[in-house]
Amino acid sequence: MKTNIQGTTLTVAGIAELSATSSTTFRDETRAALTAAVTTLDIDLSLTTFVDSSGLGSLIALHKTMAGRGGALRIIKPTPTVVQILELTRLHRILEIVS
Amino acid sequence: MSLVQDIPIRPLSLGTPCELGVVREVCGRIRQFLAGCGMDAKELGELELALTEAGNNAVLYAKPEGRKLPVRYDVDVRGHHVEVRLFDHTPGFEFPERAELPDPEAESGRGLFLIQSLTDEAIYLRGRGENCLVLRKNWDFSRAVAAREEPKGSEVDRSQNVEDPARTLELMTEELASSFESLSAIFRFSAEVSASGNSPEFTRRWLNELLLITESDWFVLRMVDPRASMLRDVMHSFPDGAGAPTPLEPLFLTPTWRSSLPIELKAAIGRNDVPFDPGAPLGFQDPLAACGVAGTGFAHPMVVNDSLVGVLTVGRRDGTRAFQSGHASVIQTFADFFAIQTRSQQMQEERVQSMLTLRDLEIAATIQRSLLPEKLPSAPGIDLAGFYRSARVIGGDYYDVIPVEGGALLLVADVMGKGLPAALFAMMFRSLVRARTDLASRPGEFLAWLNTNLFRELDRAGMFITAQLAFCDVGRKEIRVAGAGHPPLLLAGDQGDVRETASGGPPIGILEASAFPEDVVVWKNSRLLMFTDGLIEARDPVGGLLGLEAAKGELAAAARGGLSGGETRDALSSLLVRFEKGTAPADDTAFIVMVTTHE
Repeated sequence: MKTNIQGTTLTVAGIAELSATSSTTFRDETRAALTAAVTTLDIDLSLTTFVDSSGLGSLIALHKTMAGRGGALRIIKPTPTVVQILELTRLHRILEIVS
Repeated sequence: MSLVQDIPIRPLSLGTPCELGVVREVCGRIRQFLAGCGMDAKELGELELALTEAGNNAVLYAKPEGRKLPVRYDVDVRGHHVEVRLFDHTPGFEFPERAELPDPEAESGRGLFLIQSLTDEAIYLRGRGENCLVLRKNWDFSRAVAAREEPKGSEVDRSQNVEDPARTLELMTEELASSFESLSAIFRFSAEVSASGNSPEFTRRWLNELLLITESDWFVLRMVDPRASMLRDVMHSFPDGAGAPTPLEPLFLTPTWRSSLPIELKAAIGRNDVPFDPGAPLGFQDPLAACGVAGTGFAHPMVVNDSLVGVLTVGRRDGTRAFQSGHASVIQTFADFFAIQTRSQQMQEERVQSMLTLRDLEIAATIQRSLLPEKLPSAPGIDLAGFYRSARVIGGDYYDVIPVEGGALLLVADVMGKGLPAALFAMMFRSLVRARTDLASRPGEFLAWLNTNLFRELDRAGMFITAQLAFCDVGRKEIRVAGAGHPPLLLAGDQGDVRETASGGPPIGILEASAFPEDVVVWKNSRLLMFTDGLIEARDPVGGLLGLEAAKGELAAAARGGLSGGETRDALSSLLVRFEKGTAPADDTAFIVMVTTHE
């Protein structure tokens, strides 16, 4: 997992999986990387082949964190597998997805 | 080294430690295995996610002792689907019919929704200590398998294949694997049923699993209603509104027609499995034909100890998929287990019912005993003692001593038969006697009056009463006796001489107009014994009767020994015990002893 801040955007990339064993670390490390200036959190899921319900939970948690500070979370280039899960759980309605 | 161990029993069976870290690994292994069976990436991804959710739950919710046990994943690839069974050691989950999505902002609670959405069938079976989640995903494996087994361009001789030892061994292994599955299901069923009893929910759950195991589509379970002699629809798997009434019409076990019987009745009456398929379809009038389920299947009668308990019918909509013997035997075994369980539950209920009845009888017995004279009246020079014993909880024998002006009325009575009906007549008899004590000094007339007043009821019930009434006239020092078909009264003098007095008429309830002549005996240092036939007809272990002479002998001995009333009673009672040697009495017994002690 890599984090990179450009201006007011924090990008998190290089995520292979968001599962029960990795999602808590992902959430906490992302929160730790959020500086006061960050208003946009881009989660790059272009390499992510697996997201389970705890992974979805961590995305929601970060979405709420960003909303709480007046910012926004975006899902960047999710793989078809992940899109399917987001749509199935109807989270595509509340999470902004950038293809 | 991998934490995942192979258990080489099934196509794939994996036992893993109860740790979150290995869930992804084992799900990856299963994915790899199924990819090798020809499943495509999209289906694999869906099943992998469903399995991961299930595997995580199995770890996260395990009890501390459950964490020491492995989580097992059994994978079976069949023709048109893959089935994964995941065994967990959690306290078990509430598994809703259709899980809902939580609030969009919720950070958890999507697991069951994903499991159900990403599989074609998900059934959760809660057990004792171990639960099983059955997940099915449809996929046509048969083409992929066929393609691998029969490469294009090469001729394969099937008969040679079967004779090939390696192929034979493979077939046997498959057979063993499939019967292992059935056996383990049956063992789990029997363990669960003994723990929880077969409630309707339990039965439905197991029948649904039976459909899964045997690749069947529907069932109808009918049980015998013995009161109405019919088979009632207890449950069936046709959805409401699918054309089948709920419940199905009952089937009478004694049909008035014989041709084209419904198959369930044929199975019930013939005590044989009755199959049906497109070649031998359900009859036009068969209620199952109206349910739109014609296909293939069979009705299996459930019989325990030669008695029909019910009929289980299982079928597949696709008439071309005939039941193989393996699946049929699983259905038969399940049905037989279920029948035994049902029967033993019914017997348990009957035992409870009979205990309640016994309790009622005990209460009746207490009432009856309270009607026997608690303490016999005493008068100067007269010593009385009574004995009563019923062969059942309550009985039809009765004795009484009623003090009246000028003396006392002694009576013994024996209602034909034993048990409750006899006891009811004994009570009627007692009430009538107590109502007319003014007749006490004229026992013959008294018996005639009792006969007149009891005749109709006794005649209607086909019963009768034998009785003996004796009036002790204290002033005249004489006894006036009359009997109604009763054994003789015994009177022993102090020298041990015993005489019998047997005058009287027929039993009460035999002839509407009967006369009962009296006999008068003078009492002088006498020992009197009035008894019901239970005394002289007491039996020893080899069936011998005590007899009148033995009773006379004991009475004579008591007379010579100068025993009191109570001592004479005890001597006779101990004679009974010695003679019977523990044999249960066949009849009720009552007797009265009267000893006159001075002139």
